[in-house]
Amino acid sequence: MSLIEVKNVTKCYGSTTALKNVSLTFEENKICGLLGRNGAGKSTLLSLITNKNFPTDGKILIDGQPVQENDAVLKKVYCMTEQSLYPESMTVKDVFKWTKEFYPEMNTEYALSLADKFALNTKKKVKALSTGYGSIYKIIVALSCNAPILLLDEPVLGLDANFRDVFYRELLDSYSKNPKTIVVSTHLIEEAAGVIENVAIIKNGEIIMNDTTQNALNAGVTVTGPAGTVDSFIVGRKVLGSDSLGGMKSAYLLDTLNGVSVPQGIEVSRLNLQSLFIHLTNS
Amino acid sequence: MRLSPALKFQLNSIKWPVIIFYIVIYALLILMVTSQIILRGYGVDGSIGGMDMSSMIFLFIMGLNSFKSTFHMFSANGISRKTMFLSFLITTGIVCSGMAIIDSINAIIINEFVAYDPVLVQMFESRYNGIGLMTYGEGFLWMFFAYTASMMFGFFLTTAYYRMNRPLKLIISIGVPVFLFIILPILDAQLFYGEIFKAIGTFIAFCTGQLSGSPYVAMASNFVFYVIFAMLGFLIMRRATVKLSAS
Repeated sequence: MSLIEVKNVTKCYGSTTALKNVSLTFEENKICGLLGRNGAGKSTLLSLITNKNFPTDGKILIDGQPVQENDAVLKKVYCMTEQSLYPESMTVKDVFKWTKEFYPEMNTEYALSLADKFALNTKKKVKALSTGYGSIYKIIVALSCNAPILLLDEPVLGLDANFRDVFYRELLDSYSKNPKTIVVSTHLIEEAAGVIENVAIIKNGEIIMNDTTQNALNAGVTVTGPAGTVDSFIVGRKVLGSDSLGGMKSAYLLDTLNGVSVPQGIEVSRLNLQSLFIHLTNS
Repeated sequence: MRLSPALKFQLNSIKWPVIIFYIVIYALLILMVTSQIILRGYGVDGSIGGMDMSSMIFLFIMGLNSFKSTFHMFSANGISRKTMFLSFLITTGIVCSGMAIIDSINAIIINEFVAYDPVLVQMFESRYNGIGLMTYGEGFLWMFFAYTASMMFGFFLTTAYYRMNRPLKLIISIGVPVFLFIILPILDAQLFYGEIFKAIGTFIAFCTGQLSGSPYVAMASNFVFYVIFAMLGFLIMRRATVKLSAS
């Protein structure tokens, strides 16, 4: 099992409430996207799940056991954080070596092959790595440590498009060979949309959506056509947003349009996750 | 509890600093012993000492450097605070006993060439007539307890500083020296007519075994300090958090 349950968790920093009574479940062996704007509380939530921080109220369970100061539970989780928590003078090779000590199931050969794919020099010290490679060595550790639960906080930070593509491919490959519970917290929603099965959207410390990606996208549609026709069609409907180019317009609706006759010239397509996210998280 | 990898990491972290420390110490000892032998040729007698004090200072610094980096590393690898603390306790035991043994052996070797006065002999001159088996035995115990207390004091300070916010760090960093070296002497001289420093002196003399003339009192005091600093350090670190940027 590798089920994460967050129950009525509140986290306050002085007078600031980072998380407000958050309750959600990250299902076993599913890839979940944890989406939210900057400062929404994503990293705070991940840090609470991994015992890096303590909730002010509420509890977090993994496979029914509390995570707080629980080595038996914590060893099931690997969390890739935005910041490096490894000693700066440590080389990447040593990071792999020590990860193997803490996560005996780690596949070092796979880690070294990924290092080759990403053209990462494993003799380099952690402090000497660029932002992109600072993410890459942590991605490699996350993918090869074989922990049943992976929490990835901004995994593609600083990565170019080619390496982001390699990452998503390797993530799916690793997941298909060895299913695990994966939570991906990211700003690059469109890219992540292709891999996430469930989506949890966090806004100002509160969970405003927690559903399958399919259900979330089925809640709305995109209508595209001549600006005038689109404008008259969307009157009275819940509009998430719109984009115009020349005389054409795309409007994003929170409406399934079931049984609605669509005027000629208007094309109806699926809503994209990014539009939904932007609408839901706009203040 | 995943004690084994945690302990292995802690011991590995301290391995190179200890090796470098002893390379420096041996270089200094060779220089000092050689110069003593040369000076003896000119009829100048002398002795050397202070190796144990160097070890104490070194271990205090090791204690000061033992928290933040290790805590972050362990947090990244799913090790709890209590496992980290327990592994540190064991590390202090292993490292301090190891260094006490090395320093005892060094004392025996140096004494073959020139007179070597360990701090213990300097403190309890009347107890030790020359360097003998009892001196080495009691010396080892004295060093062990002094080293562990010193290392744990460093650990306590570093955990306390880690938990403090910036203004509090500033207040403590400036406030404590100002209080100890400026305000307290003035208060003592003006209001208490030297009674405060007299009491502090008596306390130090008691803790170091000078009042009783027994090194075992010093060992017991160091053990008590070790326990106190360990307890305070654990109380502070058990609620320590990894400070991450918010997103």
